[in-house]
Amino acid sequence: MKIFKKFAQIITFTIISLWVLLPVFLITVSTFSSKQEVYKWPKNLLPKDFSLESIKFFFSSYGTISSFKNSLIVAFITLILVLFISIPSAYAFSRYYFKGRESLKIFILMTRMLPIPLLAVPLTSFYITLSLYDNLLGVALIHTAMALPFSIIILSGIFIRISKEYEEAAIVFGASKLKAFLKILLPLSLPGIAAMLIFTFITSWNEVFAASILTVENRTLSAHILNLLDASPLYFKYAGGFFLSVPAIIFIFFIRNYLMKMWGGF
Amino acid sequence: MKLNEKYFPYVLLLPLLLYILLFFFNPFFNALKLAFFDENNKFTLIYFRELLRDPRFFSAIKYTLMFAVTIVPLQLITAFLIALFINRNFKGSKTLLFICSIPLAISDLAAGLIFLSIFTEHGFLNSFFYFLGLIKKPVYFLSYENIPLLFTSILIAEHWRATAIVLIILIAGLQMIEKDYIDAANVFGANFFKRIFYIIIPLLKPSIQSALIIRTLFAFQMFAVVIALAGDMIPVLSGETYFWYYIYRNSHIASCYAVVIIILSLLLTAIYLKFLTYKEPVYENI
Amino acid sequence: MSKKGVVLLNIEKSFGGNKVLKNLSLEVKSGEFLVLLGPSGCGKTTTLRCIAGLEKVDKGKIFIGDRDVTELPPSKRNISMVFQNYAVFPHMKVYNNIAFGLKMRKFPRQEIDKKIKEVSKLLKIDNLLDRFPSQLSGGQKQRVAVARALAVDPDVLLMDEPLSNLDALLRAEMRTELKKLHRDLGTTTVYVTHDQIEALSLGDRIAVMFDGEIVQISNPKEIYEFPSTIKVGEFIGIPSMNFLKARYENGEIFIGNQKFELSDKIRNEIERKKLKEFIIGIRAENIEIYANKCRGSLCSKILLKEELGYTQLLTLKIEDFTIKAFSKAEIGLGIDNYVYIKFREDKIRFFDCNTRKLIF
Repeated sequence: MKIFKKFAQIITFTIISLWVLLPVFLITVSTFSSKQEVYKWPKNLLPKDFSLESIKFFFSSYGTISSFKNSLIVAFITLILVLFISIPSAYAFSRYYFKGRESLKIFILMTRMLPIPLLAVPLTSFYITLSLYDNLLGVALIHTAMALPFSIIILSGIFIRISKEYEEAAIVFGASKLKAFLKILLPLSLPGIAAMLIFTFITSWNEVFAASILTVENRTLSAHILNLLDASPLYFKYAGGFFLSVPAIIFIFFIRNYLMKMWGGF
Repeated sequence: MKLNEKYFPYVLLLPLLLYILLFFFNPFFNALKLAFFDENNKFTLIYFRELLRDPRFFSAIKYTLMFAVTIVPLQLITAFLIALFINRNFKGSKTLLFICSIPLAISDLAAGLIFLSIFTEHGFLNSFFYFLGLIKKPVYFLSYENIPLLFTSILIAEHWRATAIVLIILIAGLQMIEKDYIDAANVFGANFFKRIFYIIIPLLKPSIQSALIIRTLFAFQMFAVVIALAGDMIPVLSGETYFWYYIYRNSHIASCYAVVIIILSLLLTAIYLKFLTYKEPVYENI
Repeated sequence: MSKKGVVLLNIEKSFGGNKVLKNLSLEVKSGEFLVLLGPSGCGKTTTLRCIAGLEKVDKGKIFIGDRDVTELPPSKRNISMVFQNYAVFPHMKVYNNIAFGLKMRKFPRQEIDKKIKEVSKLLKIDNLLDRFPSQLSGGQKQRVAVARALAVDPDVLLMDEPLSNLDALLRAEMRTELKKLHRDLGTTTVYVTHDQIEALSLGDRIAVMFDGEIVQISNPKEIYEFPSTIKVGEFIGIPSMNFLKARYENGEIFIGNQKFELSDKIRNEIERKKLKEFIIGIRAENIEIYANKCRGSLCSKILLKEELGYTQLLTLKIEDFTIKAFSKAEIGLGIDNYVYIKFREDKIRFFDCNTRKLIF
């Protein structure tokens, strides 16, 4: 009975893992195949040759490198903006009682539920007047709007879990409120803030609708690939899918222990 | 001094409030304006009339709803089963949880492209079927000639990508259920299925509800995964918004689509909240 | 060590319409160990936090020494505090934890070092200075918290239920040590607790609080022997003080139907105060138990016998009242038997039926 249970467990584990990992494995194989191999049929399930041809093509196509850079820049600006807006807000939510706190919290979550098309389309004309259209800052601004609700909720949760007593102790021993925040709360919540920022990075890196609509020349990687979808060969698409996924997967590895804490509040 | 202290939280929230004003209220009302007002700022329904004349509009609604009602329950069931499995806390359950959360990092566009390598006629699925001897020639999964197959392919891709978030929410919920309840049910002789139906599911209802709402709302915004696998062969609301803005450069119609998305989203959320709001259940006869 | 007294004048504080402190006044003498004792929710912690400056008072004034600190932030009050959950900063080593207050006060490095050596030796944690709090036991964290509080030479040391998270054995040990520390250093201390044993053993004086008000403030002996109200008598002492309703009729005192004989001195006092009905308070150890009827004894039935090792605790029914009494010797009678009890006359307290306050 015990052996049977153990066996069933291993089988279940394998099936679930395969379901998740196999597609990731297959896109990796496809990306490291030669152009001919991509169109060959039937394929070998295990790759015979290892080729950087597709990857070379992908990076040498016009706009790929710059869109890669653009994606990083947009994500970086988004991180900074999210940091500067979400930290004071989360501090207010977790350390003060004020009128309308709970309703504001719910409202912020609701803003995340607004469809991106509803935000992105009307923003174009607003951006044109501010000359933010086709501008990386403009994309970062809307990515910030998308990332803020969750990052504030996540960060409030992190702050709340750190006992107020620590800051009070600092204040009693002569620190100002700001110093208590900088010397106590900030270092104590650093891992959580890092996790939140990684989540924000992934949000920005992955976002495609707004980035496509708000840019023409200065495309992010997602927007670049979406834009060329009709006109590009399979190996370009595969490499695109691969390079869109890799940074995000690497980053999520670092916050794996934080995922539960971040979503526990729902 | 005292006044200062009282308004301090609002000062901290100021950047956020400003942001909400500029990047939520501003586009929201502008969308309504674009959808209902013409160039001379006069109220009009011509854009909606035009929308209704577009045959793709109705198929977009049809397919969007079809995706929502198929994917969401499917994800919920898959995630629930995996969550129950992971929650057994065996050696390796943490690893499995991490593996299962990988798709959380993958965008819908990337997921579409990943599954393209599986479903395309030169893809892995066809090769696999060939090796099993099931087929001689490639099957065209992604063709307009077989829309149900195309729909299913997209369904599989989106199900793979977005189940992770439901899983995380459900596991977080499961972990909050005190073991005492389950132990108690055990002591009083409830078997595995009774434990699930009478203890776990009722206690998990708040998590199920939030997962359901989040997933449904995002299902209405399905976009890149559809375009990557089906191009414009299967219209969905977000995709149409994109096309109307991006190709036809008509922000009025695009806004109309966006308004339809939000109306449908609000409608479904309201329905969920009405039927699923967590009340203390009254058990009269078990 | 600097010593300063604390004065609270007519303090009021509410949280969202809920009045937590009602016109509270209190004087802590310089060098005194004052315990704020009361059930949870009585406002004792709020009082402490008002002294610290962590809460702003709605009304009233607070003085430390002769300085009005009502509007000053905590950092300007030169107080220090030991928190209920220690609040030892988890990301700093013990050394830096103790140094925190000194650094904030911008002490020179050598002086900080000297001071830390001093207090860590005092609290026997000089071998732990290099550790992180996660490597410490609860008792050790407690010592670090106390060392950190003492390092800054505060005018007033505030302690918020500092021992409540320790297990019973450690708590007793720490209690003795705190007492000794205070005797050696003489720092003015305000100590909040709900544990009466801590209060009785530590405090030079105890302020008993109920519902945001101080109902009695006095030395432990006085509070134990002369509770100012019935509620104080019930709250302090294990078991609680026994209370019985009595009446004065035709020059005699009755409890229920039994005549209760008391000396002329007390009878005269009752006569003089024109008391008709009143409540008698007597502690369990001041009741003498006899197997046989004797002069002036009251008859009562044994409901319960509890063996405590050094003594027996009897639950007795006398008329309509249930009381508890210690029996020094084994009386040889079981449950449902009748015993005869006498109260030690100098320990009997009289309370008003309506105001429930001590008469004499």
